This record gives sequence, structure tokens and C-alpha cells, in this order.
Amino acid sequence: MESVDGAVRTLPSIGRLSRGLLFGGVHGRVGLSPSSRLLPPAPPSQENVDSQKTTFLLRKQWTLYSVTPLYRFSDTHLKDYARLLSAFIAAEKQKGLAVEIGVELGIKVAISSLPDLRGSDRDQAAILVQLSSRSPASPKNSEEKVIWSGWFCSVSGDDFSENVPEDFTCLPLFLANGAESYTSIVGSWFQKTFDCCFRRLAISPLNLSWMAAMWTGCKVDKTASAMELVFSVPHLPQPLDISYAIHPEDAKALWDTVQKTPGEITQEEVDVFMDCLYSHFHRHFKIRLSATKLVKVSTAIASAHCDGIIKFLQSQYLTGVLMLLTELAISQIQ
Amino acid sequence: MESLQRDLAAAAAEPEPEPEPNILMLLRLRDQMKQQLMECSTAVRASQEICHGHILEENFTMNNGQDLQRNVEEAKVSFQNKTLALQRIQLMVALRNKMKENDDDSRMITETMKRIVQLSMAVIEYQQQAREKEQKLLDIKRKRFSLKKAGEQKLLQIHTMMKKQKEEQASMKVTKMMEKIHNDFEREKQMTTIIQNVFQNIIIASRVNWAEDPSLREIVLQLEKNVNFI
Amino acid sequence: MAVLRPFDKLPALNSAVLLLVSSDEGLQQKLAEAILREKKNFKINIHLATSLPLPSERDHLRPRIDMIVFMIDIKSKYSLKNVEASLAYVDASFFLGKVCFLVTGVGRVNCCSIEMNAIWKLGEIYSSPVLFCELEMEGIRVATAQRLLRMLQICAGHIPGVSALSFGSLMRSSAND
Repeated sequence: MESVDGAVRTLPSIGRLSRGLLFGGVHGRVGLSPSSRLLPPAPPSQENVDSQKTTFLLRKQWTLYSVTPLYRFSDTHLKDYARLLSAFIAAEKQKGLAVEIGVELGIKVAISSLPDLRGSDRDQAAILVQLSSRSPASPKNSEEKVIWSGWFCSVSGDDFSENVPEDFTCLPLFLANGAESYTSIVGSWFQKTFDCCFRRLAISPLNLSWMAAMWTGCKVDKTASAMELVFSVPHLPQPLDISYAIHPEDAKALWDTVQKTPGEITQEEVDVFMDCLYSHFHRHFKIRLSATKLVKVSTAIASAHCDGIIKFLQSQYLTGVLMLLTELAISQIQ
Repeated sequence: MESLQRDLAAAAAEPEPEPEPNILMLLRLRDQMKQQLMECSTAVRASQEICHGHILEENFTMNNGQDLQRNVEEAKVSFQNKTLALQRIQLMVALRNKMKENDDDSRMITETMKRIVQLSMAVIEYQQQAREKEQKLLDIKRKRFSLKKAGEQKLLQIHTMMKKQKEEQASMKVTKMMEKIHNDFEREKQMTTIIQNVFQNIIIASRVNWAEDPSLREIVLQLEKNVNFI
Repeated sequence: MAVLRPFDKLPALNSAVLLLVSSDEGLQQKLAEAILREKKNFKINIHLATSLPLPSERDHLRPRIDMIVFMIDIKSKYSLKNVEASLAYVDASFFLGKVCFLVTGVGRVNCCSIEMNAIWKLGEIYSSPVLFCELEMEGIRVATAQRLLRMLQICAGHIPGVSALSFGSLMRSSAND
């Protein structure tokens, strides 16, 4: 619709205007969001997920991006890519000066593959890019500190990757942790080399409420932290944030009464769950949370912010969360 | 559920100062009023008809629905037929054009066509022969059937005749027997009459008073009975 | 009378009445002003309400309502609930083209709190047109105001030959097929 196109270009950016699920729709029916999602399968047994490899992914704040398919990317040339990337970074850092490949550089790039972070065998294996540097003062053989890491992954993105022509690799989700400058440098190198496009992935309040509902139902062995929802109230002269913390046992009990079929969640169940929480709050504080905007959800499994920032807290449900994020990334690309 | 209810009437915006009601405006107002009247009367009619029109409406819509479905089917079928005919025509035109070119392909096409024609003629001939044979077969079958029928009838006739004969024979035997019995019966009757008369005469000739003796009286009265009327 | 009925009062000459129902009063006001600024040759009366039923004290003063527009803000789930609750106070004969659902805030899909299925279903169940707009942009606001004005004219019976009954079939989205 032309009117919305106009909106995309000219609205002042208090939070960018975003075109998304409403008018894109390859799903046949315009504006269709999934009415039910399958719950991720029960956390796989420990030998599948090498917890040692993925521990470094936990408890860090990752910024989410969606990536269009990469052209002519192959798993076997990771070392070459690492070399080219490190040269590019060095060049960017010292713009204007000539640089030789092979000379000792301040920043080292390591690109490796994480074969365990995938949903099924049809998914591409995750690719991890790490930037590490040695502090100039320490001796030569000391440990290198990782200053930036980012990884591409795709969990259960099969329907998307099937429709993509040859030579393209589908890794729609990109997570980055570290300085923004490095993210932009690495991003621009990938964009130039593989002809892809990075876009910040924002999570709408609707999807955040889905995440809250899905993650509440997951069983956690250790004592879980409280479930917290943060709302921001619009249209006020001073910004106001409301934080609503719920005991995890209560939240789980509520979710168990709401969910009917194990293994599948429908939109109605999520709505009922959130409405119960909102009406409880309204009864005590007379504030209607449904008129506010949900900006952050944190549970024992993970915590997500609507600007596209996520933090994983449990390694068991890592693939489940990644599956949901991949789905969001794919819908933003399409 | 408490709900904020505020019914503010926003200022009724006065449009440009009302022009003099000229003819155009009056005509426009008249059209407006006609339209509004039509809408109101439709609404009234609709609300009146709801009670009894309900079921009739359902039938009506169902019938209409079926008619429309049939129409759609027919349209689809005719469309398909037309597409087929069109494709056939297109094929013929393409073939004709190809033939005009007169190169290898078209020669092969002509040969294939000739072969096709030969084969079809042979097929037609064989079919004809097969049909004639079938016809003959049918005739023979029919004749056999009628013969069988005639045979059956004759058998039936023979059967009935034999039955009749047997019956007649049986009845003849019976009649003969009856005659014999009759003759015997007559003879006995006559003998009995003679004996009666003889006894009567004997008793009368003996000049006995048979009225006094009860047993004798009985015998004489019995002798009076005429055997023919028993 | 708690329930709104379409033909319970006589229409006034050359005028039309629009009822806007929305939980967000600022947007409502902006839209009403945009509609009033449009050039038109009939008198228009816009009533604003946050929810139905309308208070019955002023019932006798209120003129006949020609069209109801329910505004749903995509960023606030409360507005959807508000609209759903208010729909119960509208008579069924109103839904023959005199009701319209206006979904605002569609420029910011990243802040969307309502799933679109619910809105499509609402439009289907009540067989009323669903319009999308972004009222924060001047151009779109003016365009929406013009659209609503045209629809209001038809609902009030000002256009001969066109009835509000045809909205249901004319405005069906082609994505439904």
C-alpha cells in the first residue's frame, strides 16, 4: 500500500518506522502471523549439545540482526575468510596506510563453525567470528582477549532455505556482542564479500509476549529467577517504565492451567496468559498494562528486549530460543 | 467493567456560509431525501419480512445456489470443450503450415499420415468383418433360441396329451366297475323282491293270524317294504 | 436506550453524523479535526466517545448516527478489547455497511502488540470494512479523512444510487481469495 511506503520514508525516527509482517506476506494471506507454534522439542541429551563449546554464548548480551542469504559462502574456506577479514579490519583501522597480509596485526580474527547449533541436518551449521586482541603491554605468549564476537546461525529455517537458489547459504540470524564499531566493520565486510544485507532485528511486543509465554512453560532444575516484564508508557511528558516481576512458580502454575495441548502453543493461549497477568496488575494498581508497550521480557531461560537484544541464560533451551529468533529473522527478510 | 463514557459533540463545523437555496441545491436535496427514504423503507420492509420470510428465503437461496452451481458447471464444461476444440484447430493449422514447408519433417509427417490412413482403413475393414460375423452369430443364436422354444412347446403338448390319456383310462376303469356294481345291485334287488313275495305268499297261504304275534307282525311289515325305494 | 440503532430517528436535512469510538483521545481529536477541515457541502457533526454505551441522559438530544468508526491502535491491546466490548452495544442492523474499523499506527509494525488475525476475524465476523492508516503522518491523515468523509456521505444517503449495503462486497480484500 502506497501510503505505508510513504510512512516508511518520512516519519521522524523516534524508533524507526518498520515495515514488516503486515503488508509483506508470502504466506498467502496478507498480514498473517502464526496462530500457533510448535514448542521446541525437549532439551536434547547432554551429548548432543557440547555445553563446553556453547558456554561462552550464555550470559552475554547479544544484539540481533537479520541477514539475507550469503552468496558463494563455503564452510571450507573459513581460514581464508578469517585472513581477508583481519586484513580488512586492519585497513579500516588505519585507513590510508598500506598493510601487508601476514604481518603481525593487532587484532586477530578467528572464524570457526559450530556444528551443534542447528535444528535439523538441513540447517546450515553456525559460523562463529571472533575478534581477539593482545593488549600491547603484555608479553608475546599471553592469552588473547576476545574483544568482539558474532555468530551466524539458522535453526529450523528449512522452509526458507529450500526456496533459495543454488550457491546461496542461508544463515538468517546474526548475533553480535562487543563494540558497535567492530560490528559495523565486520558487517560491511560480509555485505561486500557475500552480497548480503544486515538489518537490525526488532522484536515487536506481540512476539515478546509469545516469548514470555513460551519460556514460562519450560522446566528449569535450579531455582529460577523471577519472571520480569518491563513496560513503557507512551504519551507522557516524562518517560515512565513499569516493571512487573512475577514469582516463577506462580507464573508456571498459571501457564500450566492455560496451556492445553502439550507441545503446541496457540495465540489464544498466549492472549489468555497475558490477560491474566494484566488484569491481576490492574486489580491492584488500577493501571491498564494492555495500553502500554511491552519492551522487555526476562525469564530464567533468556531475556529479550524489543530493540533486538537477547541474553541466553540456559544452555538446554538454547536451540529452542534460537528457533524462534530464526523465525523472526526470516519473516523480516521476506 | 467501568468504562469511560464521554460523549462530546465536536463542534459542528459550519461549512462555507450556506448559499441561497438555488435549483441545483434543491434538486440535490431531493435526491438525498429520495435515497434516504429508500434506505428507510428497505429497512422497514426487511424487519417486517423477517418472521415468515425466513424459511422461504432459505429455500430460495438454496435453489438459487443449486441453479448457480449448475450454471457454473455447464460453463466450465463448455469452456473445456471449447478449449479442446480450439487446441485441435490450432494443431491442424500448425500441421498444415508444417506440411507447406515440405522438408524432412513434413515428409516424415506425410509418411506417418499415410501409414496412419492405411492402418485405419485396415482397422475399419476388420471391424466391418467382425461386425458381419457378429451379426451372423446373432442370427444363428436367435434361430437356435426359437427352435428351442418350439421344441419345448411340443414337449409340453405331448406331456398334456399323455396325461389326458391316463386320466381317461382311469375314469374308464372306474365306470366299468360302477356298471358291474349297478348290475349286481339290480339283481340282488330283484332277488330280494322275489323272496319277499314268496314269503308273503307263504304266510298268507298258511292262514296264520300274523297281527297277534308281535314278532310275526314285524316280519310281515318288513316284507312290505319296497326295496326299490330304499 | 443502550443499544444504537440506525433508523430510530429521522435524518436532518443535508447533514450527517459520525461517531468515533477510540480509547486514545489525542488521535481521535486529530482525526476529527482533519475530517472537519475537509471541504464539503453538507453539515457534519462528529461525536467522540471512548467506549459504548453512550450515556443515556443526552439520548434525546443526540441526532441519528449515520456511521460508526471504531479506532483500534495497533500498539495497544487495550484498544482492541475496548472496541470488542463496545460492539455489544450496537444493533445488528448497523453492521450493514454503517460500521467501519480503522486500524491506526500501522507505520510502526515493530511496536505491534495485536496479532493481525484478530483484526481480520473482527472484520469478517461483523462484515465491515477494515481500513489501515497512520495518523501521525499528515498526508495519510488527510487521505483517511477524505475516505471516511466519502463513506459517511454514502451511509447518510446523500449519494443517490449508492447504498451503504454495497460496502461489504466492494471493500472485500482480494487477499481473501
